[in-house]
Formats: sequence, structure tokens, C-alpha cells
Amino acid sequence: MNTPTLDPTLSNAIEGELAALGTAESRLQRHQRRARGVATAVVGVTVAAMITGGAIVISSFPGETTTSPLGTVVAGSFEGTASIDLGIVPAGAGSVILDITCTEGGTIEVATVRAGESVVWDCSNPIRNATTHIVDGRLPEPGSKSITINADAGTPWSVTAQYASRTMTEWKTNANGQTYGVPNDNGSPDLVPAQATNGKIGFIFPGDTLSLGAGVEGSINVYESDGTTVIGQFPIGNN
Amino acid sequence: MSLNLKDESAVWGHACAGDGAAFAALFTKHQSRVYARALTLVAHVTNAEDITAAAFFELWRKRRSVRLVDGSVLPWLLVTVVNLAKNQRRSAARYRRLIGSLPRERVADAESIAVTNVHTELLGVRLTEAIGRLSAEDSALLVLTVLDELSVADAAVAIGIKPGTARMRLHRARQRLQVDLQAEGPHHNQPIPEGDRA
Repeated sequence: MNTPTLDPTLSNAIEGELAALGTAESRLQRHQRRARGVATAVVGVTVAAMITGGAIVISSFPGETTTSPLGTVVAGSFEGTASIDLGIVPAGAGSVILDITCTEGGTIEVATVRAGESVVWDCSNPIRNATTHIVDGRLPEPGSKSITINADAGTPWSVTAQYASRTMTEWKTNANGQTYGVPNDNGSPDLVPAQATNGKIGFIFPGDTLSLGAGVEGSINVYESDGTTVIGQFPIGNN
Repeated sequence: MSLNLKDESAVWGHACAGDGAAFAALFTKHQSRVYARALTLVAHVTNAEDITAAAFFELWRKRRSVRLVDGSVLPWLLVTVVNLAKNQRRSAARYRRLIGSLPRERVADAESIAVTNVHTELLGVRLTEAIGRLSAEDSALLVLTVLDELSVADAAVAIGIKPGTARMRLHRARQRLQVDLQAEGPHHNQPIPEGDRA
């Protein structure tokens, strides 16, 4: 018998996804950032609340997405994969806001508005908050009024969900032609916000985090929005 | 950048530094072995394809904790294939949408179909049944040592346990499979060799 060979079309596609790592086109890296982003956002908001006494400073960054609830809230409790009937999609809806609570079992996956991306987390991970807040859940398919939440069998979870409108401001561009602001449905700008160890808030080049290499702890530069003036350091842990 | 694949540990260094071309080169080098092993562990060609893709995506995601064996990532990839095959539902969830969006011809070659239809045996037990009965680590230990012919010491490195622990667990895993065989009756009663490599 000959050696089995992987479907050449699929093989090329996998190779292409791997070759794109380290570039802005990498869907794998966007996927990973989404999964981490939920946990990071919770930490970020908590830190901002401590520093500012409740005022969240991140609202001033260009490219920010504003999500406004639309229509009625749907709630329910489920186990394993389930569909949620959200009612007819209202005009102007761009996403679904979801608060999903789980504390035991396996993983839950929620599709988000950007094609091919989703948020995945492990319910039994004790360092996570029990409730995951998602503002960019994907709308039902055209003609449908339900979304499906994928969960491992035997994983209990509850949800409140509501349609939302979704608007984004433009990223800004510095003198060097680099865009800066927060990642949104349009992708990621060249410079994204980060808080330096000295407390100052500036911007990092996301690609810098990859330059440190395997198993290395270190730090990368935090810049002004000009992308050249260094104002502090951003720590990179060994995970 | 040109990559000398003879020095795989150097390629791995580039990969860990975020070089996509290095991951692509490792995929080109090892995809056949990874796919062939996946075919023996699951019932459908499509599942084996999904596991192959997921194994290389995991290689990237877990790059900071990957253990090279003799300077190669292949043993780690094979361990990951066993783990992915053991828990297809859960492991597929992480990359389901990404893998689902990858284009395919959807016409499996005859050899792939043949491999999934010919039940590979592990010590006289159907491989798919064997890994269903054993823990992920024990399954990986048996697959690496019996089918992929790694030494116990190398398999232990790939899995991340001590060689002594690996030997003990291999012994118990063999015993367990043998007990299960005897309980099932005469159609599966060939003796289980301990093997010199263990």
C-alpha cells in the first residue's frame, strides 16, 4: 500500500495558515487574541477602575466599538450545545451581547462577528470569572432567529442575551503612516494600547511580543502614538 | 529566509521566534507522519484531516512548552495527535471554525480510506478501542513505543514524564489491555509481548 496523503488543497491551506503566523493576516493569532481578550479585558477594566476611581480611560482610543442594546433580553439555562431563540433580528442589529455563566465541565465556544473567529474558554478553569461577557456575538444566519452555543456534553451553563447595534470610530494615523487605536471588526491597527509598568498608557507593536522567542520573559517598548517615543516597558510573561 | 530542515532544532528556534515560514516548513516535513497516525486513530478521513490541522495549530499555540526529542518536534506532534483523537469533540472546539473554513477537495485518496478501514491493532486490541480504555498519557506512551518505535526514554521526554514512571505506566497499561482482552473471550487472545524496547 502507498503512503496516504493529506488532501493537497487542505494541505496547502494549513501551510498557508501557518506561514501567515507573525503577520497581520494570521487568523490563528486573531483567534488566540480573542480567546485571551475576554480574560484580559476583565483585568484591564478592574485595573482602570482602581487607578481612576471608576472612570474607564479606554473609551478615548480611536477605533473603539460602541455597542448599544436593542430589543428584549432572553435568558435560559442549558447543558451542552444548545440553540437560543433571540426573536427576529431587529433593524440595525450588528451583534449579540451575551453573558454566559458556567463553573464546571468542559469548554464553551461562542462565534463572534468576524468570520471564522470565536471565543472559547474552559468552564472549570478556577482563575476565570464565572460569567463571561461577550459584546460581539455573531448574529443568527440570514432567515434564522437563533444562535447556537457550542458546549461540551455535560457542561451546564446559563445565559442572558440581547441584540445590539455596533458602530466603530476610525483609527488614527501618525506622522509615520502607522495606524493606532484598538482592534475592532476591521482588524488590528499597527499600534495597540498598553499600560507600561510605570503606569503610563501608550501603544505597543503587537509583533514585538513575538520577537522575544520561546520561554523568554522580558519586556517590549511602550510608545507614544508616534510609534517612536518610548515612554515605558510592557512585561511579557512566560506562558 | 532559507531554512535548513536537516537542523530541525534551529528551524524550531525560528518558529518559536514567531516565524510563520518555520512552522510551514515543519508542517511540510511532518504532515505525512502526523496524518498517517491520525488515520489509524479515528474512523473517518475527515476527522484525521481535522486532527492533523489541529496538531500543527497546537504546535504553534503551545510553542513555549513543546519538548523536542532528539531535536525533533515529531514525537510531540504524535502525542498531540493521540490526545486530539481521544477527545475529538473537545479538542475540535478550539479550532472548529478555522478548520471548517479551510478549503478541501473532499475526495479522500484510496490509501487514506484503506488505512481507516484496516483496523490497526495495538498489542492485539483495536487501536481505537485501546486508546478509549487508557488515559491520554498511557495511550500516547503505547502508541509511541509500540507503533512509532520510540524508546521508552524518548517517549517519556515527549510526554513530559520521567523514564521510570513511563516504564511503570507502560507495564500497567499492557496489563490492563491484557485483562480486558481475556474478559472479552477468545477472538482477541493473542499474548501481549513486553518487548525489549520497554
